[in-house]
Amino acid sequence: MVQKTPGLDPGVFVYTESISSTVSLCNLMTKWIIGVAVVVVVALGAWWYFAQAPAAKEAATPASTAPDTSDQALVQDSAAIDAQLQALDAQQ
Amino acid sequence: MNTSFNKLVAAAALAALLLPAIASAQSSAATSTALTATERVAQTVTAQATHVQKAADLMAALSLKLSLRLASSTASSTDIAEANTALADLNAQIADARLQATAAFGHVASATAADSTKANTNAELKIARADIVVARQDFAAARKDINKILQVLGVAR
Repeated sequence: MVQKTPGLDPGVFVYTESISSTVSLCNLMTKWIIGVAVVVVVALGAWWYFAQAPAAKEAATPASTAPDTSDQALVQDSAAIDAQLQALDAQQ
Repeated sequence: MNTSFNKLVAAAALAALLLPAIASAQSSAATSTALTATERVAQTVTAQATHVQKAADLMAALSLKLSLRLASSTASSTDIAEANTALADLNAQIADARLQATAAFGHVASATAADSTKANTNAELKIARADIVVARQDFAAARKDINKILQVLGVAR
């Protein structure tokens, strides 16, 4: 933007116009840089979110393990049941 | 004389302070005793139903293990068939015991509801106790089934 001030040398007009153009360019670049930065941050956030989701889902689902069906395990389970039933009988 | 009078006044003041408190405590104690009789039964049935649920959970876990063992068992086909019949009955008993526990919880909730009458409370608690009795019978049958299966599997207890 050229601002003409009466009584000043014409060279000053050119100088003022140059500064004004440079400031406008800087403003435009700043806007672009901020815009690109916002887009990059949003993209990185989305990527991080979708990268985490499957891992979290996997962690929430416990891995199924085969139960211990040995004789000892069966005897221990029977004893635990007996203890529970005795506790039930004790609650009269 | 003056000292005796002062003591008398002090004793009277102390009695005036303490007697209402004692009367109030006695009244609240009587009330809490009346409440406790019903609440005690409700608490007992609730505890019993909780034990029933825990025992059912334990039996269900054991039932799963027994089914896995039976699937890979080398016992005779007749024994395996008997064991599988016992296993099916075991699962049925567990399921019924769970139903009885749930029903008992429901009846206790009805009995202890704020708008429950005394007659309703007694009736609901009676039904809840009957539910627990049935659950015990289920477990007695389930225990026999478990013993039968363990015998087929050759597991010494």
